[in-house]
Amino acid sequence: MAIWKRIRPFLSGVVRLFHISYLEAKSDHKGTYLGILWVPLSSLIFTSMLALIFRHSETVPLADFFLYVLAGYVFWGFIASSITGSTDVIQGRLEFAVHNNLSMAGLFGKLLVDRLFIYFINLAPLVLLILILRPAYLGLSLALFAPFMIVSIITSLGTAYLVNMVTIFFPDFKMTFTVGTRFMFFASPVFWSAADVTSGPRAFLMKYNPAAYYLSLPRQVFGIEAFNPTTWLVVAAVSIVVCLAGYLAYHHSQGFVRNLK
Amino acid sequence: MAKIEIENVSVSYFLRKQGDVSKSIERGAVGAQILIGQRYLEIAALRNISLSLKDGDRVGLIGINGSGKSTLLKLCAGALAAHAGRITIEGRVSPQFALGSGMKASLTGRQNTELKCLYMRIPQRSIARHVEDVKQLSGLGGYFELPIQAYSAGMRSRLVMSLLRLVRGEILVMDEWVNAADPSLSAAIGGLQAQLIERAKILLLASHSRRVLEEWVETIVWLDQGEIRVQGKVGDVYPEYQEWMKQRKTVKPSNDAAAKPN
Repeated sequence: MAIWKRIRPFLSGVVRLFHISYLEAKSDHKGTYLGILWVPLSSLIFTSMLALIFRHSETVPLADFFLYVLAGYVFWGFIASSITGSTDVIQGRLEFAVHNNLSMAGLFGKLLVDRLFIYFINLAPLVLLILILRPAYLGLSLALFAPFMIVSIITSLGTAYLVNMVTIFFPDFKMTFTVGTRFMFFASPVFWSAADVTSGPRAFLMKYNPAAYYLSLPRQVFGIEAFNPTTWLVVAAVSIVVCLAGYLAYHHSQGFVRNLK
Repeated sequence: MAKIEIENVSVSYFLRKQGDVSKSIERGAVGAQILIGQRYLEIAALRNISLSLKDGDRVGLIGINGSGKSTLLKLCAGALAAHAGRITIEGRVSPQFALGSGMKASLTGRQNTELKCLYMRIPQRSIARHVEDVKQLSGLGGYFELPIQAYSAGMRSRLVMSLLRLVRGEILVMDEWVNAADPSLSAAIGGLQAQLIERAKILLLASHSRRVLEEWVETIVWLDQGEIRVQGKVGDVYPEYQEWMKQRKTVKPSNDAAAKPN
């Protein structure tokens, strides 16, 4: 009971932030007939095209490859927005946040909830399609959803602050991050797989690109890929480093960066 | 209980050096001193400020442009950090820096009000009622359903003043816009503003208007070049400030420059 009393205000705050994200996302699509449904719909259309064009092996059924791409693509959206959506947070939005009862940490939390909201909207058709096309995929691996979300949330927060810091001190990195994220979309296994490849650039990227490990997590959670403990260990290690760096950066810079115009 | 304790606080803004910075150090008639660092220009907006505010205090800030009024308000609201000294704030701060701050111009009056309710932690079940109240109070009619970027300044004033009903801070930090409101605003909205100020445990208000200051605050802090020049009752400090302003008009600004080797 005491624990519930403690976490209730926090949960209530999170629910409010999700409600705000919903209203803001809805207003982004005002004037359209489908409104906020455009978010999952655009993901589905783009994923369908990727799956049709880039299916490289006839041995993999189209439905399987489509689910593989969809799971990767919607999570890639979360990763990409953690980077490209964090380049001017403090300089561009802190005053708005302060007027709305949010601290600097609260502002980063609010933007994280925005990203999660879009991710969850995109996740709904993925789950629905798995239930229709491959219901057997959904099993015990779903228990990994909670650790997957925890890892994703803390890494996203750490990354967002680090990206903001870097662009504050080195403004040229704003474009570098934008271009780099676009490049990483192609260099990461979002719409290609290296399952049958043991050498060459794809195998190299699967091994040394951290995004490849992160993209594998939702696929493992939803049974699209087999559970692989090595992937989780690599992700945990990378996340710890990112979060530690983000925490140290926040601790040492949060005063100075607020005053940097 | 609410309190603001500021001890020997200094606040600087930092701007990236770009191009020829020698022109940046030219001293003008207004604004704080600009120092040249290795990578940044440093604007020493507040220097060694000490101020102690407790429950019931109503304090006005005066000073010419660039004297540090807004910086002090932003410091209290947490939008800026002190790089020297110590600041302790107890109580929830409700900042109102500028007309329309904290709102989204692309959203309608209704949407902005809904968002404000959520940010201000109004219970979900009461939001619809609050939104209707704000609509009634503002008197915006059909404009309430239009994006606020289509509003005139007066309409925006009406919406912001009506939204004040949702503000629930113990420490109210307001910038000069409070006296810039449309004079045609209804008595109800004026009353709301009064309620808001009276309900706050601490009021910190920056204004150039003697009328506004006499109406709302008891003491005045006169800031000059980032430092507290005089602090005292409105009736004592304001005439002195006015006299200084008159004399100042006859004095030519000196070209003062400083370089900081860091």
